[in-house]
Amino acid sequence: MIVEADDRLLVGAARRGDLEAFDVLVRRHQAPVYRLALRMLGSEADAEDAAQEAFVQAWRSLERFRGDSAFATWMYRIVTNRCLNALAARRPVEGLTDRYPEPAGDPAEVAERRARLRAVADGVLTLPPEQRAALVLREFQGLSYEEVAQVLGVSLAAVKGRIHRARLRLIEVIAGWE
Amino acid sequence: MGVNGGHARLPCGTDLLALVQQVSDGPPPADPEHQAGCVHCRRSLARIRSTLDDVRGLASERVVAPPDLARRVMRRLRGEQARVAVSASARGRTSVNQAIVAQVAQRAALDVPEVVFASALMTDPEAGGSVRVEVRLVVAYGPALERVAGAVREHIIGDVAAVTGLLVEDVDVRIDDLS
Repeated sequence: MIVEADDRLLVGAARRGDLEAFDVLVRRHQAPVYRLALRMLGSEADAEDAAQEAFVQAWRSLERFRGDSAFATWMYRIVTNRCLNALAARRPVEGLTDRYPEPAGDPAEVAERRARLRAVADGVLTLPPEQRAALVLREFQGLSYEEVAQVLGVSLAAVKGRIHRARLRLIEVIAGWE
Repeated sequence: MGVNGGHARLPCGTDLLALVQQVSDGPPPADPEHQAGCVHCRRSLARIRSTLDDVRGLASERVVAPPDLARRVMRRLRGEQARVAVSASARGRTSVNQAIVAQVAQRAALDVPEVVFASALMTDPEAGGSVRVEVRLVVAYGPALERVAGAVREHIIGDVAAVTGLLVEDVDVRIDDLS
């Protein structure tokens, strides 16, 4: 609650043109914004670009931020849209999963776990962009279904449908069904 | 296609999407007796659980932003701010970015112990050699707000002159809230 009030104060100051206040907001929200972009795009360089551009865009459109949602939610909307645009502009032949080099066959438990998590991250990158956005917001950013619907601007039913289909598809990709 | 659209079924006829929903959101199975005895359902439920566990595992991995992400954003935005001339001589002109003046003013205001939040803006960048600053404050609850405002004004005038060489002609102090 204190954090939320702080954000409101900072957003108010930033809207008047206070860059110091915006600096604090950027530092506070950069990790989740970057993580969202990373899970959406799969490449660290692309994620950094998307996050950076999203913050610049946020600064320029702050007067349109009404404060009826949390600053984080508003940032998620901006960066998600940037990622969806970036994915739409990518050539379809561009392989995504090969951006993660497979680890060598190490029998250690740590390596095995890392390989499983990598398989999940790669699996997420094979999802259609809209399903991917919904799943990433729910599973990796920890938003409720209602919040995901707010970020994506679609109905709650549509969000639930996308997320369940995304989960099913992910399981199909990773575990398969026989 | 709805959530319960008729794709992806197990050999026993169970809708896989319904199983995924059951594991993630917890609605009870439509046919618990069948599920308890069916080898297809049980094997699929185990797969769903293990994959969703891995999803949660990945979600709990710490992801840190690249170290200079915020710095690069801010450098770009500060670079777009107007500049104000400090001095000019035959050997060249000196100017400072308005954002720097605001930053110095904000820190100066925070040096006053009662100030818990300060937001400063430089206004009127054209004024030749002198500038105006507007500062909004949240101040700790207590007496003597006028004294706090006076101290903030003095700190800002002193620090801006010391750091940038600019003369602050006017400091508009607004106390927005008490904490």
